[in-house]
Amino acid sequence: MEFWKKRIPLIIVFLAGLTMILTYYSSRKEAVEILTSYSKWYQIIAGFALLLGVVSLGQVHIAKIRKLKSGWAYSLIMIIAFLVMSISGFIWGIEKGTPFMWIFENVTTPLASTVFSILAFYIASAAYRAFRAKSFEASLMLAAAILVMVGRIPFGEMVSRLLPDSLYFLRIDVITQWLFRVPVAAAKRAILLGIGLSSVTMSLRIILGIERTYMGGE
Amino acid sequence: MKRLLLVILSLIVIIIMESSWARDEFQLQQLLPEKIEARDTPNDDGSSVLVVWSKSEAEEMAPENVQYVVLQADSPDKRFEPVKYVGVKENLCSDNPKYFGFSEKNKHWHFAELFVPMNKEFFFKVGVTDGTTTITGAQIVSAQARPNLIAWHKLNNFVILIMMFAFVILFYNLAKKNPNMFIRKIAGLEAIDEAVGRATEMGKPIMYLTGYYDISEISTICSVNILAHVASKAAQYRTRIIVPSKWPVAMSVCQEVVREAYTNAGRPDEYNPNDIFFIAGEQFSYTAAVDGLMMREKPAANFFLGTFAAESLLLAEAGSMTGAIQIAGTDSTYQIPFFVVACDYCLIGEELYAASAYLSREPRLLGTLKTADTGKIIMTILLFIGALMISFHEWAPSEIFMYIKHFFTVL
Repeated sequence: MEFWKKRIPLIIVFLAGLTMILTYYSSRKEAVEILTSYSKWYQIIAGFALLLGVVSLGQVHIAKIRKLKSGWAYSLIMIIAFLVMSISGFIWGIEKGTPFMWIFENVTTPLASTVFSILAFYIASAAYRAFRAKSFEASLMLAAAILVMVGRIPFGEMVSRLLPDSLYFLRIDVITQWLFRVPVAAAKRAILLGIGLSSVTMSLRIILGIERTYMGGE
Repeated sequence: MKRLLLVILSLIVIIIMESSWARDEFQLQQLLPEKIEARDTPNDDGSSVLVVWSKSEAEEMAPENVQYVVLQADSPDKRFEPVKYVGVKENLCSDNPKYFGFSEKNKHWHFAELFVPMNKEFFFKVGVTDGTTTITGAQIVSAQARPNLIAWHKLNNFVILIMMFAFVILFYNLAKKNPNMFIRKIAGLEAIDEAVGRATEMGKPIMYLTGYYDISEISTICSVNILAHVASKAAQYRTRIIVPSKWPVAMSVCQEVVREAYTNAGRPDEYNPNDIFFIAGEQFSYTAAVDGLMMREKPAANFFLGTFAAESLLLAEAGSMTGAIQIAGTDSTYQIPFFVVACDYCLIGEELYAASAYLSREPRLLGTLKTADTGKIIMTILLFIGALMISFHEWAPSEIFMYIKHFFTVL
């Protein structure tokens, strides 16, 4: 059992990882074909897994409706919406002008946009919490945020123009640009450098079989 | 007398036209390259060859309509047909280090990449044209397109990979000898037990999200590793864990990991596969469904670990409204500020990758964390050297500076 559950997957991971590395360093068409075939295999597996996902979705919601659990009406709407979209897609296709596309353009897309638009209010409430000057760091962030916000609106630019050319460096839009180009860019690059090196290490750990947690157990 | 004048005038016009034509002809000839070479394109799949020719000093004086023309034939005896036109100031070999490297000499050579069938010899000439007249040199060169097994332009990348590989093996073995390697405390990971404990005390579930991407992303694998630890704690404390998934493959992996955690905790019967379920592949449908779940189930602890996109704040704020303790971790730099303001703890970038080693306390895994740290030390030293060299490049040996600079250039 140990052999089938641990050894075989580890061998597959090692061979697949090694192939991916080697094909990256080769220019031959065969290397690209290997990568393409890997991606096709993944699509096939994902296709089967999608079936599992749909079964899981059905199981969860049908169980909820059957037991009349709290929120069962939402589950009913979900099942009806799922059936309507699937059936209309199977019968009339998914091209422009079909019922599937009509529902997608007039129901799904506006609903997604609505959810996305809530972000504006959430940003406001999160910013309110973040910018309370409770500590030195929070005060620093508040000051930087005010500068950036003012520097990004026409009013900031208008006020900045009142300054003489000799005090150009004090213009809010110049300070905003400096904040983005120097401290923000430096912090971001430091994070990205750490992420890059860590992801290489993590990949090597997985390929070499040192890291096995993702296979279950610790 | 009139006739004589007309003849003289005609002669003058002819002489002027002749001299002008001769000047044009002379200019075109001046542009003809002294040296021509043809070769297989390096680092390619065998679909093209390169024709290179030396730059002429007369290029500076050349009018805009003058171009180089590359002519091709199957055999040197056949008629050469024009296949590529190159402007006199275009296609310098120095513009394409992938094929020609970084040599200073490349500034004095032009090139043309010609796509030809593989393993067949073709013959080339280089000429000059002004649109009406085309003159060609006598030199004929030939080349065959061949596929290259190794992409030499990625050698720098390969060297770094081998270095990292060596460090992983080195630190793995060092950790076996010395299991007590120092790893700094990561508050977000220390808080995991606290969050699970809180959920247990309150009798409420834990919600765990693995992020925007499927299991093919390294960050999702890292998230699944942390899930193994969280699920193990949840199984020990008999706390329900909900894992809504955006991807069916990730869902299957999460189900397996959670099932294993419950089995290891000796409670396989308490594992509920319906708590690890697929919701929707569409970004905001998924977000809306998870937000709704948070509002209805009121989990006591939320974990947002993986790569996130625009949904990060929508999820974290909804969780914050329910009063849950929230631990987030992401490698998407644009989402880190959102998680920092809306969550109690946030793992920044690489901390997410270090989590599984940190949580398992397995010495060999902890040892490999030192690899990334060593890489960072090397990078910091190189950045420092680079900064010094840029600041004092007039005094620094320029060849060494260029070598270091080119080593880190991605081609």
